[in-house]
Amino acid sequence: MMFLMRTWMNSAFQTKNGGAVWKSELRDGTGMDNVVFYQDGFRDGIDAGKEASLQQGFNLGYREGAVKMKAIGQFKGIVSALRSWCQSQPSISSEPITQLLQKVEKHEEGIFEAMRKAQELPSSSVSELVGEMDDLGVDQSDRGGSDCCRNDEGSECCRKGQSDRCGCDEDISESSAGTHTESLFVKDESLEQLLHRCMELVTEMGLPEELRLHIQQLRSTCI
Amino acid sequence: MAGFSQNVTDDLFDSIIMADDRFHLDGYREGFEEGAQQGLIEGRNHGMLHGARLSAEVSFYHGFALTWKFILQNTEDVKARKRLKAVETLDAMIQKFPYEDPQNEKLQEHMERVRAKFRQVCSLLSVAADFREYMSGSEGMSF
Repeated sequence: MMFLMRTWMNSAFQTKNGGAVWKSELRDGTGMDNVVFYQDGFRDGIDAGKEASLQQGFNLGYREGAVKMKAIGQFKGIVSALRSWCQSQPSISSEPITQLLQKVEKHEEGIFEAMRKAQELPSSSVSELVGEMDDLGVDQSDRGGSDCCRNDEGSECCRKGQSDRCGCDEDISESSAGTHTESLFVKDESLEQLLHRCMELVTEMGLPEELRLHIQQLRSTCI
Repeated sequence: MAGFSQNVTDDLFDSIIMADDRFHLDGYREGFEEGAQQGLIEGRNHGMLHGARLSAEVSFYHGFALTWKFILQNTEDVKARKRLKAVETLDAMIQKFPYEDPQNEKLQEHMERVRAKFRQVCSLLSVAADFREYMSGSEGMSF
């Protein structure tokens, strides 16, 4: 365990300072090699720095994650409730709503998967991620890549910089994870389309207008 | 002469000690900066999954409660009133839920109460509460 920690610290040290250059820089007038002192300080500093910022990072990520899942979580609850209602109505087939629920669950799982992939990124990309963190809240459409995707049915859905608001059309921005995310969702219907389908089903089943309006409201937060 | 020699030795010794401190301090400062960045990234990644899981679960209950509320408000059934009351209580509990604060001491307690109410609602609605994936997913909400 200690060995692993030491190896990790050494790699972090070298990432920052790159071998031979710092060695020559760390010789003082007495000709003494101060690398050891510097390196010890660096290791102590890394530990202290990490400890000082972990909770802050956790809180930041926690809020971001909570915001991202709010709309999809609520939508899944709506569709699950509709399915349970359908199952209590012998005259209504629960098949269409079950299919919709499966798609919603898949969409939600895709969002979690993208987050897990972002978490597994190697530590060498730390500085890239720090850059991204500085950009938090910046319009995602500036990050390159296509803003439009085409689904199986050939219709287009376009993101309009809405991604960080509610996790609609999932856009976890953590660097390279974005690439995986994009490919994950090309085949799937967008959350907006799924919400639209849900509104159609609510009308078909003769359920209250207030419910349809609520789903419409949820949809409008994603556009 | 001896005094001069002593002074030189002291100065040399001091400069070595100071060099220790200076280089250690320089290293510490750079290390601290690097560690703080790593801590932010690692903390953020962990926090994001925790926040996402918790929000997905609570939002699920919210959507579930709201939908049943709309349905039951328009039902004349005898049982509907009792069911509606339970659903409204669940909705009210979720409205007060401390989403935004992972360090809220009562977060876990709130969560347990919401889950218990959800199970009660499902029982009243004669719905199988087979949403078990949620029940184990939100442990350890902060470091």
